[in-house]
Amino acid sequence: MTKHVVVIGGGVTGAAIAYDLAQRGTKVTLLERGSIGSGTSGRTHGLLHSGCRYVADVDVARECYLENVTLRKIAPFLFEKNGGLFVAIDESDLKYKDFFVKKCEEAGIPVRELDRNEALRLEPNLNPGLKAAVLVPDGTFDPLKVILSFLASAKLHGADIRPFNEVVGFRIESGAIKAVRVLDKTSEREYDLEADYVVNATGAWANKVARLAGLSVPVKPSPGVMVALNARIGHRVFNRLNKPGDGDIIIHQRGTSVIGTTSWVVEDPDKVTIPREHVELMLKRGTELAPIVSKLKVKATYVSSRPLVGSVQASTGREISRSFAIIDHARDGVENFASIIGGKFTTARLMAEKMADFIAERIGITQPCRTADTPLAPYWSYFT
Amino acid sequence: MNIGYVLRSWFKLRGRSPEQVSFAARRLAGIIMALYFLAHVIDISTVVLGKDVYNSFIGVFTSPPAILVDLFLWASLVIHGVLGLYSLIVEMGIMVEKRKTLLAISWVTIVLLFLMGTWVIMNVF
Amino acid sequence: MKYRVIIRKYKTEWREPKYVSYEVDVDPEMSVLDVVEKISLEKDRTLAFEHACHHGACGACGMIINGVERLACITKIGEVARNGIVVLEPLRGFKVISDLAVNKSRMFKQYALVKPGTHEKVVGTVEVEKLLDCLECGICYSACPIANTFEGYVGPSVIAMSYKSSSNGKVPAIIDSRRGVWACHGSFECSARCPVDFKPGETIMKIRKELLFGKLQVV
Repeated sequence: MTKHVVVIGGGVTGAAIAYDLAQRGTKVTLLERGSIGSGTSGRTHGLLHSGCRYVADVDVARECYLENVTLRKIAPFLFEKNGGLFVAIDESDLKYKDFFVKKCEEAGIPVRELDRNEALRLEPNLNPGLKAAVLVPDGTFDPLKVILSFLASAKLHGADIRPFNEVVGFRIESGAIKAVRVLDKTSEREYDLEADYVVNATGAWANKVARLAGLSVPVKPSPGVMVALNARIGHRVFNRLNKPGDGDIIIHQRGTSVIGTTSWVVEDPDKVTIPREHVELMLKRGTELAPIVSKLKVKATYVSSRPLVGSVQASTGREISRSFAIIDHARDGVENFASIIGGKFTTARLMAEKMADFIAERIGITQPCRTADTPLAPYWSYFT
Repeated sequence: MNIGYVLRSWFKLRGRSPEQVSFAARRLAGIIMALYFLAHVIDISTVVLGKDVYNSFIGVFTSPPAILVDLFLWASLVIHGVLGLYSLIVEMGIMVEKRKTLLAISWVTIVLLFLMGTWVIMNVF
Repeated sequence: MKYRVIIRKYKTEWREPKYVSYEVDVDPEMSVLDVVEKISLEKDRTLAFEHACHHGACGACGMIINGVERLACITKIGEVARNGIVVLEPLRGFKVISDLAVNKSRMFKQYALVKPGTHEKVVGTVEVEKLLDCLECGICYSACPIANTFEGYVGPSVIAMSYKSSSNGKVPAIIDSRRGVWACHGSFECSARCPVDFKPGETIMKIRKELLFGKLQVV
């Protein structure tokens, strides 16, 4: 008998999990309280990480790079594959260069040092006072289209995708979820959805959803501010060559360039306001990388919360590990429920593979994951 | 899709571009002329009903209030014709970047032709 | 500053939509989308609306604000309010799912016929690729007097995308048909409302000129 899995959360993690499970022959229903991508992943910076930003942790960097290559292979139409530049502006940046290049090589990421003139020829808007530049295999994407591609692929395998359907409760009997209580916002009616297994892929909202089942998830919602400018100033990603910090990336999408980002921790991802100082900091740091920033206007500022894995109290998000975690609620007494938190957009497919393997073991699915080798369906087929 | 929906999509004007307003004007002028043509065929065909009926119909159409109708008709003809020429040019892909200038010239022409026609109609009748 | 936001609401099995008012007190610099999100979190839990990127790059939040099509995320409430009132309605020409969310499948259905690419080449010092500027938001369909009434019209954005992403300089035959460029009546509302200046109207006329003068081939 086909097992039924309910995936809660219509961001990139939920979408990739729905795809993976559906491809393995599972009946999948995905529930999202708003529209597709209306949570964190819709507002992500849009960076297809080369992994170079995280070279301090070589394994994390390597994992990132391999997913970068996989995504380029299965959906080349979703990405601008122009690479990125890590640029040294001051002495501190310059001192970081050798460590950076060495670690990239250790992680197996192909990078190339450029001289000042070549860097400025490729990207004329970079700070002419730059002291060094390293070319890395970064890419960029439109997050909504990537999420829709995963969902289109899931639908091809029979998944039922339901936006505007919010989980409002769980019916738990004898140590397992028997049904999920859902509010269909398009009809204002509630209904019960029975499931063999339930995945909480709501990221920064994971604890809010888990509390409906009387459980908790150690996620630390960590917002970051992005500043979109009214013009596009380059084709390759601009990164600051140094340890990861605030406002050290400029990504170009369609007709705009976006400077990001900052990091702090909040209690409730539905109650975040943008601190004025963060916007000013982004503009200041952006101008250091590309002086033209000071001549441009701000088109929009936005914020969304990273689902950081935490078990310790922290005031800024950067000390908390960025790798992902699967929380098995069987240890809390509910055997068919798990939450997944952490991770980056770039590694969503891998997170989904691990989550689907985890679930497959528990509900008796034997098909292996094939998402790394199957081309993704075009995003527009989600609507047809 | 009903007639109300169709009319609303052709004739929505609030906050619209000059090209859209001109499109709506041209379409409205075309509809008016089509209706008039229908009415005209009917009134002319009353000739089959005999001289008296025909003459009384024609009498209505040449009485003073009918002059206003004539002016209205002339306006429709001028709007539809001049904007039709504008469309002919722009919709062949010619002068597309300069279309707003061409449109302004068209409307000036419409006003001039309308005034000329008004003078003719007033003085002939 | 106080505003009255009036939203056209519609739920399944309602016979008619309802216009519901919400009073808010927000900064005039706040985007209409942020105001709608605030209303959905604080006052009306079942309010359905689409949004993703919040900076005018994904096309999800297109809606009609005081009668004119716009992206809600980059429209400041203070700029569009008339006497403190803002009326929000879903895009025209698409079936309404609920409230401000519409089903854009009539636009995306055309993609299978035309198979547009997603990239255009950029000529520069070193060749780079670029995703098309078109956000696929559907605002041009809502604004077009023809798309609203002619179900089979391929549509402004799809025609322009097909042309701009063509890898061999040709376009599919359907573009050169009654359902393609020849359906257009030059109202240029698509270009006037386009939030990214993709110029679909100008592109349609350019295609027509090239077809008429034999400079464009169809596949």
